[in-house]
Amino acid sequence: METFAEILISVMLVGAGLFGLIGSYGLLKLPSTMTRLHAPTKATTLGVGGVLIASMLYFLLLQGRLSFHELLITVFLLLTAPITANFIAKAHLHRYGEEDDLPDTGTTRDWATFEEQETDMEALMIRPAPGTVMTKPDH
Amino acid sequence: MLHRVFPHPLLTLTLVAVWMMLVNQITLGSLLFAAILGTIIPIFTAPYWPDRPLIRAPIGMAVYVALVMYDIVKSNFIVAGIVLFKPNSQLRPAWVTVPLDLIKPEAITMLAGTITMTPGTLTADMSGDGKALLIHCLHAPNPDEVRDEIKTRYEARLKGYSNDPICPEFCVRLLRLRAFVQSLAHFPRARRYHPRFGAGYDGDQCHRDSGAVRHQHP
Repeated sequence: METFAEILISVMLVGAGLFGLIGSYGLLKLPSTMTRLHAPTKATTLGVGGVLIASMLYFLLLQGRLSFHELLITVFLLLTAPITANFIAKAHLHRYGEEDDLPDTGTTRDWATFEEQETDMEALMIRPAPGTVMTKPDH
Repeated sequence: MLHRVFPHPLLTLTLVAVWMMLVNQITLGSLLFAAILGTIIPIFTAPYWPDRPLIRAPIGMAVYVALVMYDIVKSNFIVAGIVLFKPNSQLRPAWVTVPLDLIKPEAITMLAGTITMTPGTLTADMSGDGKALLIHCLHAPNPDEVRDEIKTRYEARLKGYSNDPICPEFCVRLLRLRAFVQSLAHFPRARRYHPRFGAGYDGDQCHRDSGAVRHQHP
């Protein structure tokens, strides 16, 4: 039983390590920033997930007590990975903005990253001439 | 009365669960402390959440989470396969526009997160009015297929579980929250600064709400 548990945990650890390695290799191999972003957001998730499952199995099967704060790490990972990816993607769009490559939004407005603030500011605000004073109407 | 003690039952439950996970053991003492935290924190933070995320079907949500977990594992294998075995010359990266039917910011956030975590897709941006998402695909020979899958597999489910506007009052709060999220979408550019009115100038609100009129001095 103990041997079986050890084998199971080892398999999880080695598998997780492999996925982490593939994620890092993807970072080197893929051709552009946007495609490189895919490797660490996904392949690494299973890498870390495998280590956490192995940790839970180790405490449950070999130490004989329930350990579940690994679940919390999983939750935080699932919450933060998409946000990190989104921020990197947005930063990439800002710096190397290839606006022409992007597809149409299909709505009346542009993508938030490229939207010109001036256009909707102009609609909302008519610039007051010099010497203009703002007052409240009398009631 | 019960509502006053627990203004946000879901937050209370979440706090209890998170505290128990942090402590990492189930004892009466830690459970009691978790209950105290779960009661106090929602009461004191009540002014900071304008609207609570409504989950209309908890079981449906659980099914959705299980589906996403399965897809995450699947996506890991697919992406690993692409990284290892597909030469860069055969890779067909593509941008895809996904029009949104969801309205609630929380639901859109969940959809965007799901898209990032699942097979070969990544949410990069949202349109200025929050009605479309910009998706980047690692390998998509047929981009329309990707869009249709996202719409049917994820968005349709999220819509059914959490996104029905219930009453007019709810709709109004929803619109307000949505305006807030949209103002966050413009985060990188300074929005609340105007050369004439200075910091804190609110272009949307100033003239309309305060009823201010401009008089031209002779």
